[in-house]
Amino acid sequence: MGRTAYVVNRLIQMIPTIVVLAVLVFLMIRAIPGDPAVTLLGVQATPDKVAEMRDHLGLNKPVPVQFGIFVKQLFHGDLGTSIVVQEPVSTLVRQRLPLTLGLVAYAMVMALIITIPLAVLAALNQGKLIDQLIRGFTVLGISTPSFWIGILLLILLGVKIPIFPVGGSGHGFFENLKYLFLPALTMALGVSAVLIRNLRDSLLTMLASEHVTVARAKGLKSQVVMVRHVLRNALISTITLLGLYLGWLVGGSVIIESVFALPGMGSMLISAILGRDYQVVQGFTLVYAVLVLLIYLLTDLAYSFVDPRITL
Amino acid sequence: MTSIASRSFAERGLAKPTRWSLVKRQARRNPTLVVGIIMVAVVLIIGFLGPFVAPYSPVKQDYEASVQGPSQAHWLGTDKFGRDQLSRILYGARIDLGVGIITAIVPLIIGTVIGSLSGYYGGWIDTLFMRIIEIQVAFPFYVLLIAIIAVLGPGLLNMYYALILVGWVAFARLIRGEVLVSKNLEYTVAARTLGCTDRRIIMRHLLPNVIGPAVIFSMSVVVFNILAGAALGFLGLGVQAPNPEWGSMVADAREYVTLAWWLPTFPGLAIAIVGISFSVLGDGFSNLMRGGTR
Repeated sequence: MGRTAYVVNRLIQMIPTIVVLAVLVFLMIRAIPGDPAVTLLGVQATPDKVAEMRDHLGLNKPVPVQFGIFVKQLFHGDLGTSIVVQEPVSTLVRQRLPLTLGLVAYAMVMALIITIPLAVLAALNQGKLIDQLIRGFTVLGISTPSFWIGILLLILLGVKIPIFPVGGSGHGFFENLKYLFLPALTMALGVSAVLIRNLRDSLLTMLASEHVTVARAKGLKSQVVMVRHVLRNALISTITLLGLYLGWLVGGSVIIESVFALPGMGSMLISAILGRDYQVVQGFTLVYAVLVLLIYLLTDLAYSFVDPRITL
Repeated sequence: MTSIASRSFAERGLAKPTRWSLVKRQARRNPTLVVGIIMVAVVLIIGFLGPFVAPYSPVKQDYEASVQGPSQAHWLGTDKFGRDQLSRILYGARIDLGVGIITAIVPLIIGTVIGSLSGYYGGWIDTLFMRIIEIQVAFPFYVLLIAIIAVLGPGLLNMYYALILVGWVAFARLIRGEVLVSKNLEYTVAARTLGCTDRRIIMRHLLPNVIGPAVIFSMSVVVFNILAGAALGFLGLGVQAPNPEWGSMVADAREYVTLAWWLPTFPGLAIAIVGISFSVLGDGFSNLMRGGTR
């Protein structure tokens, strides 16, 4: 199957999943215990206000009709209007999505920059002190809360040694490279802990394999063997894992954005939950889910570029 | 059977190994497991005894002693309400450990039941559960968790529900995969030929053979869920004030990061120590399964 046919096929397969996602997200507001209108407005709301809110949310109509309206609005790119900031949710998504995506991409690149040298170093020194230290780092990375690492980095590199800004975002690409450095590093540390373990294991398997012995026997330089024969093959499984963890990074960005007060989707999602701005919660949840579906699709496509043996 | 074993040892002029010497040999081969067991045991004992040994009440406020650094009276300092941080961490241990352990065990059970039925019977049961899992996987972990809490409302109990609701999927997938392989292996076919019922085959033959990886995986789930519970507490969606929970303690400390380093440092360190203990134990178990270390 050609790449285009594959993409079209995958997109078609995504439709039922997106429909179910839409139903779930639609049911979110309706699943709130009690009268959603009262929950949204608070118990002190006057009956008039509650009736107005019920009308605004369309809760007076039969549920199938409500769903029909919801779907129709979705097709028009209408995700509802935020009750708190009085702006269309789609506008909020447009304002905040770039930062979230940028943060995730930045974290991913940083994770690879940390992972590859450390995994190679550990695999080449298997069992020695440096290997033990790197493995200790991976245990730490997996078991330590990212929000805590974020705060410690903030204290160390934002306050004590003020190299990086302590929060917020800048204007333009280069300024944001500086502003998002600490948040991206925090996310990257957690993910690279998992990736290093995986890459170290596959490097060890590769180093012991016959084609590497043959490459060495041919008299190739050790660097050439390492890069062309060992690393290239070992990276395939790590990229698979990275694809899976990209979805995780998107979720993790919710927490990190809150730690560093970044104006992305995650920090707004949390304040929307605490402020009971359910239209925002609903819309953002759907956007996150579709985003992850697309990321998985892109990851599958990426394999075929890295490993020519994989046909889609 | 035992006579054969003991004769072979006697023939070789060796003493029959005692249970203790077998344990010692295993410990030498797999020090990670031993360290993990000791660390988790210590953590659990502290969690259990915490409230009995805590020097102060975790919620008693003392404004005269607010935001004080570590001292003789308050080993780990005090927070903005003058509450003793050591006592709060000791009391909080039960909450954080409870979240981690219970939200790993319950999904392990649910996932095992669903995964084994789904893998063994296939057909519509399998299709149904696989679709549910597919949809759930589309949501990023934290977004799904947060969305469920958005519906149920913040709080400890709802956090349990959310983590369980999200957690069973991974176990179900794992067990289903193992069952799919094992149900066609000779021992299962033999049991079926002998006329064992499906229930007996699943309970007595399949599960004991496939549950190992799931149990090891549950160790990482404990770590993961302790971190998730703390993260939710940190975001204000988990345990509510004034209850001492490590994640929310770190969150409360945010406004003092420049003034009082001890406030975010110690609760975070507590989470990290518990996380590391269970990680090491998990690594030890997986070494045991693989039959060596690498």
